Amino acid sequence: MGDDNNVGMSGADSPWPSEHQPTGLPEPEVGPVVSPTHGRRDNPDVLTRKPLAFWDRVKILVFLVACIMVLIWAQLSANPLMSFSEAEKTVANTGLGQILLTLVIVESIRQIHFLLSEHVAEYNQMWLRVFDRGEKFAGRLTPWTRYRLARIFKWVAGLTIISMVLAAIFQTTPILALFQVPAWFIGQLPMIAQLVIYLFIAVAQFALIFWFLSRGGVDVYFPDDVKTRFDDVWGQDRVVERVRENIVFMENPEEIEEKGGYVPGGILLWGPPGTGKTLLAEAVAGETGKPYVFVDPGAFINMFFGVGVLKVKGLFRKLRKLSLRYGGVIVFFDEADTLGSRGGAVSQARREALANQLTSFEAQREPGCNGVHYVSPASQRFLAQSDFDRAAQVFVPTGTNNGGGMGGMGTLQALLTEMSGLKKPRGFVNRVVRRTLGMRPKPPPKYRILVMMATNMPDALDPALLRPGRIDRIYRVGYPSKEGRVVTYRNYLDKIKHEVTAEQIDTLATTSPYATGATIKDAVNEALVIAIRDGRDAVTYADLIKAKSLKDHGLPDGSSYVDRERHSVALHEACHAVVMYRLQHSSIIDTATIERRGDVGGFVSPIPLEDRFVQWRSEIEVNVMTFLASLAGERLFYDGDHTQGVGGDMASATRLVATSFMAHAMGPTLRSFGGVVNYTEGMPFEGETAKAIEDKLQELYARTVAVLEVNRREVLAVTHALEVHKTLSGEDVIAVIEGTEGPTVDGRGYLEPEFVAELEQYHRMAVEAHKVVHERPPALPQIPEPVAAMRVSDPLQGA
Amino acid sequence: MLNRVAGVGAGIAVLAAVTCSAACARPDFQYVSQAPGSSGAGQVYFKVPSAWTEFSPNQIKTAESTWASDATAKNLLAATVWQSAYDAAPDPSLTNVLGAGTPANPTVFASLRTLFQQEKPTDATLRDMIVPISTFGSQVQIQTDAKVSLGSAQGVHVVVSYLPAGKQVSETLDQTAVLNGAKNALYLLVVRCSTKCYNKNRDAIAKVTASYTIQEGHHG
Repeated sequence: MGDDNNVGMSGADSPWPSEHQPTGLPEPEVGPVVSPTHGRRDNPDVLTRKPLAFWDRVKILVFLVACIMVLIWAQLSANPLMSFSEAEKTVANTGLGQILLTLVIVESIRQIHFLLSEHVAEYNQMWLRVFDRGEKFAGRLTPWTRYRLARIFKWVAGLTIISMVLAAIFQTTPILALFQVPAWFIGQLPMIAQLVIYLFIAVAQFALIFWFLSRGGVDVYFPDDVKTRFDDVWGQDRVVERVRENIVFMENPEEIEEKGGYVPGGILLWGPPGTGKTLLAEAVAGETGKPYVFVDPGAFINMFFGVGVLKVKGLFRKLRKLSLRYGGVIVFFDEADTLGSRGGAVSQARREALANQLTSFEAQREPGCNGVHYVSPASQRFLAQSDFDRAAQVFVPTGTNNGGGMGGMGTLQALLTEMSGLKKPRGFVNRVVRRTLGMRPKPPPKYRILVMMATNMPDALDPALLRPGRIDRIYRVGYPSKEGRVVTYRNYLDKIKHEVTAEQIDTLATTSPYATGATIKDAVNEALVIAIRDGRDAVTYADLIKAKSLKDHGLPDGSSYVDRERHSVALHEACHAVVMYRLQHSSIIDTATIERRGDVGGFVSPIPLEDRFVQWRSEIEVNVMTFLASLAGERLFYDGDHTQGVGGDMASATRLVATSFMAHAMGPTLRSFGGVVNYTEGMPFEGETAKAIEDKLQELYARTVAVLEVNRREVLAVTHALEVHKTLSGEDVIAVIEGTEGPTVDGRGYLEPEFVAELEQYHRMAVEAHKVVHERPPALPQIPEPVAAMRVSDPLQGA
Repeated sequence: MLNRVAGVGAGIAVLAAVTCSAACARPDFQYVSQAPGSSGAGQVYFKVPSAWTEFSPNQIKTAESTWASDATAKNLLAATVWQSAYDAAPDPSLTNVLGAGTPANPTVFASLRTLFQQEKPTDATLRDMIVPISTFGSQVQIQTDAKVSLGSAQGVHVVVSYLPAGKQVSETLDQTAVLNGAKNALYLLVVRCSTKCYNKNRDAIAKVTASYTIQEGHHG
C-alpha cells in the first residue's frame, strides 16, 4: 500500500544518452521516461503528491464502516437486551469484526500517509526514493523471472488460504485438509452426477429444438439424379464455356494443383431474371460426376437467432464429408441475395431492379400518347431516370442491415468464416489432444468445394462474400445472344407444331433483344394458346407476333375512340412511325397501335438492332424529331391546330434537348451541369440556356415538318392502316409505307393513285368535321381489292 | 463545499475513533439467546457478565447423560429443547452448575423443555421445580416469592436461602420458572451459590435475573 503513481526510472537510469532525448514514442520495453526529479508527471516542478479527490479518500473507509455497521445491526436485531455500545464491543470481539477494524486502521494510516505526501514535499520524496529502491531491485530480475516469481507467490498464497478455509471446514490442520479434499469430492460424486444429469436434460431440450430447426433447406443430388446438360443452356455459350472449365478442374484437380495452382472455389452467376442462371447450375449438376448440393433460398430464414449459424455449420460439415468421400462437391446457393448483406450497398441494387421494372410500358403515366417509346432504349432509360429516383425514394428502404435478405444475425458471417476456413486444422483430437501431447496438428485434407451462387441483385451481396478466395469468378449471365435466341425459339418451336420459317425465326430473334429463355418459352406457349383458340393446331408467324405484342405491351383496354378522335390519334401515331422509319437507322419499329391501355392512348415502340452503349448527337436529334413528329404532324394536317396528346412528347423532347445541352455539350456551350446540379429536377430554364434549348427545338421542329411534308402520302396511309387494324406490327408498318406485302397487311393498295386521293379526301372531310363539331365524321374509305383480300382481322382481337 | 468535506472527514474520523475504542474494550456482558428455531414456544434472552464461563450445549448434554440414570431423568432430558450453563468460578466446572454441592461462586442454568402430556404445573409445583422448598418448612428463608409475567408467559420468581441436608454452608437459590402462554413449555432460569456468595454478588445476579426475557410469537 504505497504510492507508486510517481515511481519510474530516475534520470540517471534513463536508457537514453542525455544528448539524444527521444522526441517520438520510446521503445516498447523501456517503460515510462520520467523527469530526473520525482516531480509529478504533469508538472515535474511540483514535488508533492497529486491530491486525491475526496471520494477517493474516504470510499474504502466508508465501505469498511458500513460493513461494521451491518454487523452491529445484526447483533442488535438478534438480541433485544443488547445496547449499541455492547453490540459494538461484541462485534469488535468477533473474528470478522477484528479483521474489519484492522483494515480500518490500516486504511486510515494509508490515508494519513497520502495526506502527508500531498502536503510535505520532503516526506513524499523520501518515500519515492524508498519505492524507487524497491523498483530497482525488482528491475534486476527479468520480466519473465518476475512473472514466474509472482505466479509462484500467487499459487502459494491461494493454496494457503484455501487450505486454511478447508481446515476450518474439516476441523483439522491445513495440510491434512488439502489431502482430505479428494476423499470429500468422491463422497460428493453421486450428487454431482445428479446435477450433471439435470443440467444435461435442461441443455438437451434446447439442443434438440435447435437440431430440429436446423434441418431442411439443403438437398443433395448425386450424379445422374439431374438430367439437365450444358446443351440445354442456349445463348450463353461464353458463360457455359467458363463454367464447364470449372467443372473440368473439379473433376480433375491434379491438372491445376500439380502446376502449383488451386481449383477456383467459387462462382457467382448474376444477371437479369430468367436468363438461365439456375438452369446453368442444374446443368452443372447434370454434367458433373460429383455430388451436387442445392441450398434453398429460404434455408437461412429462421425463427431464432443462431439457427442460421447452426445451419451454415451443418451444411459445411456435410460438404466436407461429401468432398472427402467423393473427391469434390458442388454447392449451389440459389437467389444468393437472401444471404443478405451487413448493411449499405443494397439500395442501389434495389433501385436498378426497380428501374428495370419501370422501363416497361406501365411506367408511363403521362396522359395522351406514350411519350418514350419512339426513342432508343438508352434515351428511354435516361428519360425514365427521374421517375426511378422518385419511385426509389418511395419504395426502397434505406440500407438496413441484412437488407438484401433475411439471413439473420450471424448467418452471413458464419458463411464467410466457413468459406475461408477450409484450410484450418479441425477436430478436437487433432487440435486439442495432439497439441496437449506436444504434437503439431495435422493439416486438413484438401476439401474441394465449388461454391456456386446465383442472384439478380449482385449489389445486395456482401462485398466480403465476393472477394477472391471465396468467390473467385463472377460471371454475368446476360440476355442471350441473338444466336442463342434463335436456338431458343427454334428449340421451343420444335416442341410444337408450327409453320414458321427459319427466316421468320431470325426476325423474331432480332426483334426481341431482351428476350430470355423464360420469356421466349412463354411467348411460344402464348402463340400456341392463340392458335388453339382459333381452332388451329399449328402455330403461325402471326400468332407469334400477336403473342409477343401481348407479352410486351399487355392487353389493351378494349375501349375504342369516337370516330373523329380515332383519326387524330391514328394520325398522331402515324407521324411518329413515319419519322421513325425515315430517320432512325439504329432501330426498327416493333409495334404501332392506337389501342388504349390506361392513360396511354397509343404508341409506336422501337426495337434496337443492336445493343448500343452511347448515342451520337445526330441520333439524339433524330430522337427529338421523333417526339416532335406528333406536334408537327397534327399542326400540318389539322391546319395549325393540335391536341393535348403532344404533352408527353414535348416534355420528353425538351428534357432530351436540355440534358444533351447541359450535360453532354451538344448545345452551343461546353459547360456541363452534369455533376453540379440534378438537371432533371431543377433545370435553369432561363437566360441563354433556355433560349438555346428553344432554338434547337424550333430548328428540329422545322426539319420534322419538312420530313412530314415530303411523306404526306405515307402518313395518311399508316393513319388509315392504324384506323383499320388498330395495331400494326413493324413489318406491316413498313409494308404500308413502302406499298409492299407485309406479314398481315398487304400495303400494295396504298400505292394506287385513286386510293391515295380517296385517303386525302377522307382526311379533308375529317378535318372539316373536326372544325364543325356537330358534323358527323366521314366513313372510313375501303381499301382497294388486292389489299382488302389480304386483310387480316385485328391482330389483338380475341387475345 | 470545503466545510462539508471537512465535516464528513471529521465524522469519519470520529466514527473510526469510536470503533477503535470499542475494539479495545471487551463487552460487559455475554448475551444469551436460545438457538433460533429450536422451539416454537418462544425466544429466551438474558445476559450474564462476560467474565463468567459459558459451557457449550454439547458439554452440558454429555454431563447430563452420564448422570441421568433412571427413566424419569432420561425423559426429562429428551423433553429438553435448549439449555445453557454459566459458572463464575475461576476454575469453572459443570459440576458446580449441575452438581449437588453448594457452589462458592455464582452459577447460572437456563433451560426450556416441553411439558409432558399429563403435566399440569401450578405455581406451587413451579416453586418446587428444582428444590422442594415447600417441604423444608421453617428451615427456608424466603427472600422473594413473586408471581411474574414475561409477556404471555406466567410463573413465579423465588429467592430462597436454606441449609441443604447434611451441609454446613447455607445456599441461596434464585429461580424463575414460567410457563408459556399455551401452557405446553417450561422456561427455567436458576442462579445458585452459597448465601455468602449470593449476598456478595447480589447486584450482578440481579442484573442476570432482571434481563430474563421471553418473547413469544404472535401465534404462541
